[in-house]
Amino acid sequence: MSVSARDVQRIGELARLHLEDDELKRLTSDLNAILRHVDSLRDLGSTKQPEDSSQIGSKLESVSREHVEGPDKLREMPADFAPEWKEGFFLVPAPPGVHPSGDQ
Amino acid sequence: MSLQDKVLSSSEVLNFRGSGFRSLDDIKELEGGREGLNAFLAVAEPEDLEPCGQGPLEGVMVALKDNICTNRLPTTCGSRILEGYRSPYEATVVQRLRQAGALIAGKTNLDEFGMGSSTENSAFGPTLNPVDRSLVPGGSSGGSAAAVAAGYVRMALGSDTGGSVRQPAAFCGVVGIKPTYGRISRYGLIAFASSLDQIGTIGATVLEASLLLEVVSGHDTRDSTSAEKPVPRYRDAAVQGIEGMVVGIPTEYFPEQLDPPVRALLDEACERLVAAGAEVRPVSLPHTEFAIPCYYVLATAEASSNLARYDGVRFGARLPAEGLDRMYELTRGNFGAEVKRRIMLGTYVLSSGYYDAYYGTAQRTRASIAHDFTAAFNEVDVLFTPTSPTPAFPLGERVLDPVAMYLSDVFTVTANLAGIPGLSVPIGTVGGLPLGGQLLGPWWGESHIIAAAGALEASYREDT
Repeated sequence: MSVSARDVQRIGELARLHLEDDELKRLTSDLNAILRHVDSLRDLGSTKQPEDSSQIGSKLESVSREHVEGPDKLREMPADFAPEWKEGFFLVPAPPGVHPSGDQ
Repeated sequence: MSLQDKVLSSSEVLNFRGSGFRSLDDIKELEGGREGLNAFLAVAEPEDLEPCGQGPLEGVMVALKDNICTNRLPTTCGSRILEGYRSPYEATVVQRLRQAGALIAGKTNLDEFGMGSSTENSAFGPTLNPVDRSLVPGGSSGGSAAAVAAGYVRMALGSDTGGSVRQPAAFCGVVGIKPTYGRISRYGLIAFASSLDQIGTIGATVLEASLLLEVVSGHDTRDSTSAEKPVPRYRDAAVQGIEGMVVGIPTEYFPEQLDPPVRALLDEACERLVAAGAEVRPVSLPHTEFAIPCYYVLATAEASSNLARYDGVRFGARLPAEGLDRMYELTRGNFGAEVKRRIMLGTYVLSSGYYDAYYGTAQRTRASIAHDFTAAFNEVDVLFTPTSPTPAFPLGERVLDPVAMYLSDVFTVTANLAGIPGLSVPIGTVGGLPLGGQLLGPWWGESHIIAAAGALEASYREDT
């Protein structure tokens, strides 16, 4: 698969990255070079049978251990270390166009 | 005599000169002078150091890769977007180091957000290889490896998402360990690709890298992927020997294209393992050829999600703009070229219509790679491979060719995909440049690879 400059422009919008013309040109070329390499993954389907990805979890106990209920230490933490914290929310500077009262 | 007895303060230890110790002033002087390597992005002040506990690292200076959160020193991830950022909390590994008596000497340079194999992608300039300053130190933990190789510190922490501890350790001639996924808490490690990221240790010797691993390992309730498994005394494994150990040599890691001098050093290392009491036999890991494409799909997909938080609201230095969307774009324009490239690739492979073709296939391939290791470790105790196809390469050689740069990681990414431990240990030099041999072990088999590395190191030490 390959991507056009228009595709790359759209991907940039999805990723919230503004791309100048020279960046767009270079990224289109780079992404196509990378995708040519990545496309070898599709050969795998015809030559070797891919495994079920859930099998990885069976080897890593850390991601598949039984759920044990206990105190949630994270729940208490944000208020302890947040620079500013009010009524369960982090306080951040108002983004452009947003007034502190919440009115647009 | 101890620091707690106030016979010596930690700042006095760090400012002690002589006997091979580097003081904080030494590091500042060296880094700020013509011989500077740009290994450190921040060096601690004496008042940053205390308090610290009593333990196996009492009074020992340890450097931290600058993607590990500290509240006394800035944490930049090598990125303009986090320039001047000071975390309100410390990573679990930093707390464990302090409890063990270690002194945090400073924060080391890295490829931005850990994305790179040469430390050239730092917004604050590249780190130079102390062995040859015209060469890269490897990456992304190049600052940590260079700091240890240059003798600024004896130990440092890095992080390894696809080889970022092991490859720079190999390029700089020091020891690097990436443990099993879940062995070390990632709480306070700034995320790149969460299913692959793991903090690792770098040391001047196998014993030092192993001791540091022992100190920072263990379960942490603040990281749900950290494992509730006891931590062995890894320092003992470093000297236990390898009598009767079976070492597998995966044929896929020894391609015909390997340079003859590189192959000769690897063959010699195998002979040394046999001389130390091990049995060596060939094995196959048939899905190895798909590891790099699999890795770059999964790592970039996770990165595109993890780095969405740098929007000028949640994280990242906000740039003023008219309107919210423009503010997001301007703020995220502070990412460097490689980070943008990976966010773009990750966004593409996760997008509607391409998700299964790329991400789904890569997830299945990842399981096949893990299965290869399961089969191999039914036959052998550890695997021995090159850490990297070549020694350190010149600054600037691969920075404009992303695929060539990605292929630097061809022998290391598999350990991250499978979650197994890996270690790089020096096995000699090619044209005066250090080469690393990689030992891979089964899940939670750190002691096996440390033992094999310790035996190799002892064998080379006997030559000198």
